Amino acid sequence: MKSRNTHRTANHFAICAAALLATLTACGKDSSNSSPPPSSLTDGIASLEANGTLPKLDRSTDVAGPDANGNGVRDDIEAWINTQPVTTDQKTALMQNARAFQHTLTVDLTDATALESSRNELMAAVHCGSSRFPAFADFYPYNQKIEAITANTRERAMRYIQYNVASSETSNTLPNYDTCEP
Amino acid sequence: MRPLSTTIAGTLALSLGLMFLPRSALANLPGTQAAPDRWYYSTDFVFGSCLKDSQKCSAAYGNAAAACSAEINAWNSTYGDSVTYQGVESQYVCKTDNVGITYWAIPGCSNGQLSWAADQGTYVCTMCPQQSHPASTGDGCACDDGYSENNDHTACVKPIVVGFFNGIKTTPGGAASSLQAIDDLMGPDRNGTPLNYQLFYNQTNGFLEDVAEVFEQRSAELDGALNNRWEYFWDMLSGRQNDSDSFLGRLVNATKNWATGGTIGAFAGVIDGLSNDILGKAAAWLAGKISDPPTEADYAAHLAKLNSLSSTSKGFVLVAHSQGNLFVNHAYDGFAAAHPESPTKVVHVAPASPTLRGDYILSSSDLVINALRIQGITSVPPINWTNPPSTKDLLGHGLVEIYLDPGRDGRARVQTMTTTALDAVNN
Repeated sequence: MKSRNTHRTANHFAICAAALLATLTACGKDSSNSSPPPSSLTDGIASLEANGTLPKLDRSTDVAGPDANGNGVRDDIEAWINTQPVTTDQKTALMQNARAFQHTLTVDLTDATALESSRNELMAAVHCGSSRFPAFADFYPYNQKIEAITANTRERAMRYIQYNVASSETSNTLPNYDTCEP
Repeated sequence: MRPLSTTIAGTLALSLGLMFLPRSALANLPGTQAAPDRWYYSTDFVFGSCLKDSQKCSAAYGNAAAACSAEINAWNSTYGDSVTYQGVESQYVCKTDNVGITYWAIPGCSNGQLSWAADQGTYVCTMCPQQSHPASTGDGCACDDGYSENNDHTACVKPIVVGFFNGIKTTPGGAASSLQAIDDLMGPDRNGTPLNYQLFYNQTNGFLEDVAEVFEQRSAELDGALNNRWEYFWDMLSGRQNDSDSFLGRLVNATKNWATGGTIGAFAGVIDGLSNDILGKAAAWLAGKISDPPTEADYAAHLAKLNSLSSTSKGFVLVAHSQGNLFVNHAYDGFAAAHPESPTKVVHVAPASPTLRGDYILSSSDLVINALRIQGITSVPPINWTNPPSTKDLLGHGLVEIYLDPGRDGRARVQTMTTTALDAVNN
């Protein structure tokens, strides 16, 4: 830890010096948060979730989680998507993406037909998302984030891992038509 | 939902010779889109989806109620209970509003014998003339199962299958996006021959469970700060801790400006430890598979899929990443022996396999594959791409993050290898 901190301090000086030429903004604290630095990691995460740097997510033990409007997307994930700097069409694609990932947590893992449908939904959602963003590279980080926040608790992560296992040795086709839902 | 009277008017208009439009034109009309192929490629599916009326459903299946119910249940599990049935004159019309678009299908049509026509913003379908393949599709008629329209919609041709065998640590969601990334790289066709992108998924048996256990153990060192925050687990798995756009990367960056004691001070060490754990387990899993290769049962399903596609495909290009190389070699060997008439090529990306069936690329900063060499496994191919580390994937192993990264020349090399393979099977 000591060597890392030393290295970090040296870098920090360099960054401060460079930044000083352009602005007089003080270095040494997170510019996005003027409150005092947290004293523990738990407090720090809470502050980042409060200021929107990190998503504020449902942490209940329920695998499905809350979906008050019944649109297939967990309420906290829908709220996060609504904060993203995307167009209306892109937001619709992200909602489809979130719905497809959410279904992976609730689908009957013993039902091969339902599992195949779920995997096809993932394919369709990814294909749609790719078409709604200027480049695939613009969409890809959203796909990763939505997957991560969908399986965001121990119960959900374990269920998603079970879905992984149940999907092994399968094949699916990437659609070649417009798969976007309205 | 469109009123029934409009439907009748549209049907009558069709019978009077309303001009047909090709599917490509229909797809571009405002507020509309072409129906998924399956809607009109499968007569059974149309029967099953439309005839929710139990009496008609049973009749369609020769009073085989079980078969009828199975079709309807399959439909409902995919699209929800949103399909209604209407009778229009002597024809059946089905419609759905769950995607906000109305589709019309006539169950009397059989494979490849439907065409579509515009009717006040929605479509009705009617019979195409009987035709054999390859056939002109300029009239808007669909191709038979297994055939695809060429780019200018003048013929039904057999596509080339581009099969993707995923790497270690890849979830179904990640595999789907990897296949889409390959589609993004190679496009919908090669010199007019359509490309049919197929995913051949294998999960890394036991690996995710092991890493999850380590994540919990390491999290305990942080007084439970990450206990129920598994979004960081998925970021760790993909090596995103230095990616300032990722959730974990944002947290790592923030801690650099906080106090250095307690759990904050321990955080960086825990992340480093987890990263080493994941690298070690990934390398160990792959090394185990090299010494104890996949059995026939492990790739039987994928081999069966390849066999099923052989009669409707012009050829195959199999792209494998990481652990996928261990599976693709067996699938290739089995398929090539059974189908010498089907030209097949393999492209190896980050090969974890001791033997190769085609050209390959291996990054100098791929810690996972190169860790195999450190463990004494000398049969991993030599590094042939000098590539600096990336913040997008600290392990330097991701297909999308590293090998297909638009900012790295590895992407062009994968594209060239795949293009060469496509051209070889397209001749």
